[in-house]
Amino acid sequence: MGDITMNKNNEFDAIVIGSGISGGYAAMELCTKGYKTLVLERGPMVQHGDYPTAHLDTWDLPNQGKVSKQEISKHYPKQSRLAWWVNEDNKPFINKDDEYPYKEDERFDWIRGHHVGGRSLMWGRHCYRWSDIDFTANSKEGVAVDWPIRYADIEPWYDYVETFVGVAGQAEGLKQVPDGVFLKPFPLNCAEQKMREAVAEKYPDRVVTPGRVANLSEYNPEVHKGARGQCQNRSRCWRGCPFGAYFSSQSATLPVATETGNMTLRPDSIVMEILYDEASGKASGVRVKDANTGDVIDYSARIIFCNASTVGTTAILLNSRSETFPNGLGNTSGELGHNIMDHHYGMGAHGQLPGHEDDYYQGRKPVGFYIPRFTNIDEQSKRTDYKRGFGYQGEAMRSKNTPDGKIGADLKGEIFKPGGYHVRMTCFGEMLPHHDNRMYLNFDERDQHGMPIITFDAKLRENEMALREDGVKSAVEMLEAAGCTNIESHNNLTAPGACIHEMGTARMGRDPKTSVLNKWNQMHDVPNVFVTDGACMTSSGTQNPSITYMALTARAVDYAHKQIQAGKL
Amino acid sequence: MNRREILKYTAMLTGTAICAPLTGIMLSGCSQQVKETPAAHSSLVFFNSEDFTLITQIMDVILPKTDSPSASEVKVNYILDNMFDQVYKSDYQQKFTAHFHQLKSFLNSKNFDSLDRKEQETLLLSLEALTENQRNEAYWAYIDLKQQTVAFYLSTEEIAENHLNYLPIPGEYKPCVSLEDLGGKAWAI
Repeated sequence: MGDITMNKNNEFDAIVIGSGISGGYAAMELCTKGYKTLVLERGPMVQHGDYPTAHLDTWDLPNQGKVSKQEISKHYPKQSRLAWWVNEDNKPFINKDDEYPYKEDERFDWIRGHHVGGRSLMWGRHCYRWSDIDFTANSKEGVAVDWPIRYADIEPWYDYVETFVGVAGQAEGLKQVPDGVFLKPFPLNCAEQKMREAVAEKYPDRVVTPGRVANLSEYNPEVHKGARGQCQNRSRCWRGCPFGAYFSSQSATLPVATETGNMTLRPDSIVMEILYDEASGKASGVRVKDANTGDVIDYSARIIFCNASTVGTTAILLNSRSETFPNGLGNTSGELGHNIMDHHYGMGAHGQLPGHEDDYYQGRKPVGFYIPRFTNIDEQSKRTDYKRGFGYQGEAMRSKNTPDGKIGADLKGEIFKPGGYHVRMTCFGEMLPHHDNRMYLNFDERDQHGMPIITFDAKLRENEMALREDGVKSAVEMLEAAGCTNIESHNNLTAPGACIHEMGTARMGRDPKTSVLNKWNQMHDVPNVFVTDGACMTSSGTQNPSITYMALTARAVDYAHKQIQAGKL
Repeated sequence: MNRREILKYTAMLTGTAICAPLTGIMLSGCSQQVKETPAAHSSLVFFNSEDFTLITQIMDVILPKTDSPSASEVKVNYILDNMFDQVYKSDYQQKFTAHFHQLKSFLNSKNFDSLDRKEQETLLLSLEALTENQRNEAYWAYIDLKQQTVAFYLSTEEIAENHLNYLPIPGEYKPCVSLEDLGGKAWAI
């Protein structure tokens, strides 16, 4: 272990732990408000444009783009539990399990990418607003604790971040996923449009809409600052986009933060703990271990934003033990690490859609369709068999054409033509917060950096199982309504973590006795520490959560800034 | 240079910008199409020479040379050999091997080797025509080969760029266009 050093250069106005989707946002907001900000990233540097596979076709990649068995078993035994996840094209941004160990009392698929930009480089880019159906659900049902905010509190911040992020989508006037500031949508193709109409006719409450995604269908340099550009419809987003067409820390927030001259970005910096000053009752800074040299360095700041991801942030807080907080910083409630949630999937349906022989599409749009939640959103849609609901992502595409009963020249006459339309839809379900679903630190075992091993003990429960059944059934109903044939459904249980939407381990709430953060994402116990990544979530909703993290982050920075200006922080 | 290395370098060869020095190695060592000789078969990583010869024959009956290349001309046989070695899990390897053994016996019993092309097609089509309760292991091996032959054939650079609609950077997305206007051809990627 190196020396702990403390000098003038290690003082900042603000520290942001993590450079992913919320950390990048916190950094940008703080820097543009004039704060000298240190951004700490535990992984290595990735510069915008440093995307090694961005232009490779299938034939350029080894093994048809599949990672070899040998490499999977050596480096990705857990990451590859998601059969679709580890590929030659996105592999550069996926953690090697042998370098980042974790333990499981119950299976938990912790899918990560430790590098500058984090998972903002590989994210699914779907952006859906939450509504008061989500913010009031816990309270109405007596589940966990009430959210301390309502839609009105976050609405202007959705406007604010969506404008900068650039969200392509179609206004539908739905109360469960309110309309936002949209760029023109990536339109439904002929088959998807037919499906939209057929489903609407039979099930007026089920809306097949173009997925709302953070890809620039329209590029406006006035608002899409950083290193952004027009989407080229290549659908290779998770490799990193050389055009800067989708929102990532690299393409958007970090370049803007850099331009202010206020950001110091330090990669390869493992935050060991947040340092607590008993005298002031505030955090004084953070202790960092350099991943390469092993040097331990302290940095101080007036405010600290935790954006190391739900699990990463919570692990740092749990490891920040002091006399005042023997069980982790700001953990007087005892809720830190508990109530872990994700979305669950692995259920859905697919089928052939006859007709449309001459209808084709041109380009590979970065998203298909989305079907917002339609159960338990009002009295008419109330279910007695489960709480909350589910949404779907899907697409209609023409498949390969390998007809039976043909061979040789006859077969060759067919294979260059597209096959018929195939519709797939995957259901994503809400997961209820449950105190017994948790992560904790195993202090008896350490990783190569001497940090205690993160351990998971969480599982899907009764409510999740019940809504899955309805999710599958409803998927089949919609494919039938669309006129699909050869419909097949599936319901393969996923482990928590597998949806890569983990959240909830340092929840917001009204009462310091039962929650970690207040309505401003500020620690009840330690006022200069803010948590604005997924850890803050009080329930999981059915919507993809990143845009909400960004909105909460911008709102929290604004609040912190005003508090500082008022001399209260 | 073994097959595994060739594939690795093929990636670099076609992604010309990334690794110029290696393209030199590639061009000097392996620019010629690998000939069907026992020496060439020494580069096999999964199948033995005899099975590989039969697989190659079957693939070229499925997709013969016409105004577009045959399956083996774009090395679909070697792609398959590599996939079995590098990617496919052992339970699938074993299952396929067992099925293929039955297919081999069936074809040998019908003197596949000495049949002319038309007869070979007819024989393989007879397998494909088996009704659901007649389908045996030989059937499954053949169907598996057919599906993979077509899939890998279409994912080769030669076919994708010259015989399908290949648009690496589409720019705009058009949700509804006429297939006829695209020459009736599928998108390569």
